[in-house]
Amino acid sequence: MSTDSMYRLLVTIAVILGSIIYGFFINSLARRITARVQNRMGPPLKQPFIDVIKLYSKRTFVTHGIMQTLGPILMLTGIISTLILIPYGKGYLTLYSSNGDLITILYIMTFGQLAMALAVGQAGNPYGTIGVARGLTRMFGYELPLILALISLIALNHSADVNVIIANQHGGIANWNAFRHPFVGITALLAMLGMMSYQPFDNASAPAEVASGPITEFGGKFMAIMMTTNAMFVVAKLALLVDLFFGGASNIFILALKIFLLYLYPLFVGLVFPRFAMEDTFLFFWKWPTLIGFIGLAIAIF
Amino acid sequence: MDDLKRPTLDSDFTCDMAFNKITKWAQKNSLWLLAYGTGCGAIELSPTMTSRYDWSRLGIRGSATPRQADLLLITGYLSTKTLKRVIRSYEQMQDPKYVIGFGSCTINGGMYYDSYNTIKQLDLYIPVDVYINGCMPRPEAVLSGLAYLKDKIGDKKADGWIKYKQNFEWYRENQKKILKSFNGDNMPDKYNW
Repeated sequence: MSTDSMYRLLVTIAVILGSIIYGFFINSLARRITARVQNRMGPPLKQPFIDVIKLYSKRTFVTHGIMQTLGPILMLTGIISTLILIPYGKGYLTLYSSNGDLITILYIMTFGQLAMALAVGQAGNPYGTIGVARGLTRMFGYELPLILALISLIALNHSADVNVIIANQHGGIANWNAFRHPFVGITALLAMLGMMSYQPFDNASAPAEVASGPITEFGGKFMAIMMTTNAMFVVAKLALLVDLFFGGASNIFILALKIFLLYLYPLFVGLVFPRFAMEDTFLFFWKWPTLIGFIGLAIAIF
Repeated sequence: MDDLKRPTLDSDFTCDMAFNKITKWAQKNSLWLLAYGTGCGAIELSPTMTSRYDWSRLGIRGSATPRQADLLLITGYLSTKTLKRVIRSYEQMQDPKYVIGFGSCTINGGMYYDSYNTIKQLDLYIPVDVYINGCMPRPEAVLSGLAYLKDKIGDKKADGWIKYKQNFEWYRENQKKILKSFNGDNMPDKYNW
């Protein structure tokens, strides 16, 4: 193994571990902010770490079959594959993003959720099945505007390579895709509300409605893996959106800042709006974001 | 209660000495509870979890299902019909797990002492780690009970779940005296006695 690929591997491992820690960190900050909005104190900043350690130290291991055991692990595999295809900066921080383009990333992103759906299917809990059905329906909803926005970006940049799209946004805030192509940016930001599964669109896990949705039957170590995966996935999704629409980042600190600022947006939207019903969720995504997305696509092509 | 064997700390409980400090610290600072609203006590949980008393600052949080829960709250009186569900929920929870008996009704029947369809003494049927007395206990009392449970977990004295495993037949006998059978409730075979 050459030194170059060795460094790349080390940086990749660092990014994977860093994304777990940063994902938990912004999660706990979000819980603090939510608590402040509700005039509460909120849990301490280390709470997600404590929760995960506790879940890993659970002794019982209840499983209903091989697919339920494999599901969370396949999910972790899918998320790590997504994570290493996204650039986080320059040099070694581009990781393996030159090996796959935007279409690969979109394809691999759904892998984890499908593995999860299979695992829930074997667990056989009716609430889990309802949760998965809702989650996949929501995914159907937000993927249309999201893909319209991404196709517009590909058409505008004549490339599906994320590094090229970042390079084309150099030279100040006015050049960021979200502001230079406002229709595309608005579409992506609306689709992102569905991706982050915060309040108006949290039908899948819907607390107090369908128990806790897909994870109803998963406790202990399974849930620990899922919490870890979730933290990584949040960072991966936000880093991709920052790369595509907010000019990428020259170093890891600016990226972390941008990720956090972008994370506040679905959080605050979620604090203001109550949950949508499933059909309203679907209609919302296929109505306004899709319409704006088509306008953006028309402007991009003609 | 006399024929209840005293629980002994077996190797299962002390095997992970290396991680013991870390896991105990995590287990006592992250309690996800299944607030099983069996009786009137559930009304005291709302102020305890919301802005006024806010138990989330102590690392406590509600959980939606028994699979994810660490702590079962029996809030107030427990009718014999509800006992079935409590036993089923308790056995679905994952070890280590704790039980808090909430209010006088779980200790000696409280104001339902002569009722024909409530349980008078909860720890004949499931092991109870901490009792919070009062009718009803105020949120301050609830928080102090939870803090006491935390100390017990830290001192490795919250061993109700080991007690239940080691004296399983004894608990089952007591449960069978109250419950005829789970039959007809779409239950697994071992519950249809």
